[in-house]
Amino acid sequence: MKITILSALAVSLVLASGNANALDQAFCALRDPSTEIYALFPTGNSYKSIVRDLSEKEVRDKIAEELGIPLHFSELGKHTLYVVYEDKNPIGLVHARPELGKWGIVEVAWAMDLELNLIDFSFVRCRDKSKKVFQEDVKARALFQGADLERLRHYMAPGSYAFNKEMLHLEADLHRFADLLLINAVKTLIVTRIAWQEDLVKLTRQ
Amino acid sequence: MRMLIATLFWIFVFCDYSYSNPFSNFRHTLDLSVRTVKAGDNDPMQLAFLGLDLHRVISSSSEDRATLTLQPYVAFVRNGPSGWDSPPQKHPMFDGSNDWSMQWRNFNANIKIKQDGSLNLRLGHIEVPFGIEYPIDTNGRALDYAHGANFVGIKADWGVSLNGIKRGYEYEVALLRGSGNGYAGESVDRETPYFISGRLGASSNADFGVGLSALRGNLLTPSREIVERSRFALDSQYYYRNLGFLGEISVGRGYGGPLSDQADFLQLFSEMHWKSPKETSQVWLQLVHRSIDAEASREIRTGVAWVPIHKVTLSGRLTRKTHPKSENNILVQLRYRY
Repeated sequence: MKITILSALAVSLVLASGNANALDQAFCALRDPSTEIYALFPTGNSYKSIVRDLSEKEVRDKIAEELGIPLHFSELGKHTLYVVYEDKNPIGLVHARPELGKWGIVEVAWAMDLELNLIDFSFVRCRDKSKKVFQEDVKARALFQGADLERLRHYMAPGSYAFNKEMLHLEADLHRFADLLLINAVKTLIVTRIAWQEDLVKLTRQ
Repeated sequence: MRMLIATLFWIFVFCDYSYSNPFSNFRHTLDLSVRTVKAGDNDPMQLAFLGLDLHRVISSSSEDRATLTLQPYVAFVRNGPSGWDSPPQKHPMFDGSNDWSMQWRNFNANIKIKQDGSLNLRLGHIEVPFGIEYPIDTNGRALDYAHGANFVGIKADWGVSLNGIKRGYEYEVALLRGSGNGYAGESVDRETPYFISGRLGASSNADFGVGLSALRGNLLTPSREIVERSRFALDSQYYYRNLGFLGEISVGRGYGGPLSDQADFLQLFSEMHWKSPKETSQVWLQLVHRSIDAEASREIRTGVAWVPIHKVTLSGRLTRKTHPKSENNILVQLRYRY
């Protein structure tokens, strides 16, 4: 029995080699996303995962070209797009994207419609107290609600990935966190459009 | 057990309702780690783990139906290489001083019963849902939560569980075999082991959370004896910026082998840790106070984990027994996930 198992594992290891994954934690640490998904889409009653590899050269290059900067290695690897359904009809998408914050990694779940307009967002993981403002302040949330990629780029100061401060009516100590959300939202829309392009075409035909 | 393992692998590879590609929604990583453990003046024990970490979500056209997490590992041990003076010590997992064995970490299918995530059925080799260890990933890490062979008795076991998440709270209740890594049948006295364990608590990503756990069972030891175990625990987590404060109080009966089966048990556990903003390094300090009947013991554990380059983690842990004074235990580990 031991020899059989060892042989099977050895074959599997050979087959597995060459496929990168950026996660440092074991996969058992991947969480059930139900809470975030149904908070973002209260009328949804099921969802489906679609996993795609952002490390593939073609995908990676396209993202870097559109974004203007390459993704950090920890942002590559396999990621999941959740398609949310209401009575088996697709009503939207959820993608969670990590960003390096002042107090550790911030992970934001973005809700989008099928045309890739942002609907809303929630914090999956965030130890920065600034998140409270963006959870509770209607005006702060409204910066992102309904925004598409063009509008997000319009927010940016020329030559930077930060908010044009003349357009941002928030207290100065929130600017840094708002910039983090902005670049995270831009990455989410670009990554979703490129890495899940074929899936989005199929979904919009449904 | 062979049938269960074969079935889970078969499902993992072939079963899919919504895609033509049999490997859709599939993640895999090769995990290699080498570890040296030295206790006092004893010769160091060397361990190596080589395995696969596989994850797959099985979906229909509009629903996720099940998640498979399969982690088959081969563990190698070498206690005191030839030429060293003292005789080698045996690790409880292995028969000899130079040996290997299969280690099934998580090896289970979690099947969705309700689509809102509030009710799932898990089958296979399951992490015991108990205490502060449950919401934190300690799989293959130097970071651990004092839940070893003497405390709960097993970290993962074969069986079934009901689990779910709702409004920021998660729960899992498991009925387990009581035999740990292997699926052994009966004890030397022909008694059948069993194990029931459950935890209800706040989501692990919350800034503050409290959990309640309970377990009861008859466990099978490596020498095929039955030991009784019962525990209640209250645990909590609080995170402030990149600091974490964790605590657990557990009471119950039984500790270690059959000789302490009926001993009253109390353990107070606390941890403070710090993570760098990039989360590439972590340091922790743990304090453990334990009372078994009237005898008390205390230990301090300090540890560090560092990611010098992508996918490589170096970590170490020093366990110092302060009361009664005893030899220190040092663990050093190099891990590579590809």
